[in-house]
Amino acid sequence: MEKRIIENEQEAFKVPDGYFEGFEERLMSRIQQEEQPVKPAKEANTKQLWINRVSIAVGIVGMLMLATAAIIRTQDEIDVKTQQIITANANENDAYYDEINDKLSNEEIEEALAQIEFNEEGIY
Amino acid sequence: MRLENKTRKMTIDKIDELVPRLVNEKTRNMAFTELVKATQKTLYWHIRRIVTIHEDADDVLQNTYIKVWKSIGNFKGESQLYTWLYRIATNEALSHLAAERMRSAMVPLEFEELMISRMEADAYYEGDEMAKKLKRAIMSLPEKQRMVFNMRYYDEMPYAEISKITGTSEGALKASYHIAVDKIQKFVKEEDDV
Repeated sequence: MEKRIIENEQEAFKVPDGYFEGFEERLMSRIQQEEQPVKPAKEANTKQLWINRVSIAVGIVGMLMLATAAIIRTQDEIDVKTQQIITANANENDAYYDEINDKLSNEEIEEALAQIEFNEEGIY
Repeated sequence: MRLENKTRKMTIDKIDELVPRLVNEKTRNMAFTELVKATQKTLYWHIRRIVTIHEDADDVLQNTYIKVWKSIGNFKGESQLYTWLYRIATNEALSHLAAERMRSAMVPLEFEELMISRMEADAYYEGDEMAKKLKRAIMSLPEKQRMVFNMRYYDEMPYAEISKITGTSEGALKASYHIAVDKIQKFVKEEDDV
């Protein structure tokens, strides 16, 4: 076979300018990339899963603490108000009976009491 | 591109001297850089003749060196480093072709025709009519025969060396090469007659 033909074919293949000069650098950077430790996907997923779980748990505990604090505060307020109402009522009752004692005569009081006793017998 | 026998002997001796430094972790980086510098062109052209497209050859060459880098620590020295490199490059190139063949299964063209049309469309191919005719003739050979032809004809590699790379006996290689030459001559003659 004629070598001339082969020579022509061989010359037909070209490479980009500077290809061989830059090859080593590109190769070494690819090797570096391949050698970087890659965390296994499973491990990364597990870690993320635990982060999510802990975040959710912290969130729930926080919300419970806020809700408890709110309930306690509300209960305290209610207690204070109830106490105020009870005190106010007691004061009002005292004032009412004082007023009655002041305004009604003994006969009228007795008549009123008799009325109450009458009512207590169940006859209205 | 073609490696004269004297140059080949020098290259083989030179890179074999690198083995102790390549096996040693402390000196590996520097020795590997020297190895790449000493062998990149030879391996590139060997791969390029198998895969034909520049981008593919570049990929395969990089993969070859990455495999060498990853396994050089375990190199036992049972074969010459040069032969070992060639064997890895050949296997990588043939694996690449097999993957390409699988990918092109849906294209209504013979794989070899597809390879020729891709090669002619490659920005880094500037063959004239004669070159294209010869390439078509070479591409018409079965893959392994084509590889033997390339190594013997373009690289002028001794049969003993090709035998170590391909794991085929020298006798079988000689027969394969002569059949390949005969087929190429017939192919070119037929094309000329047409």
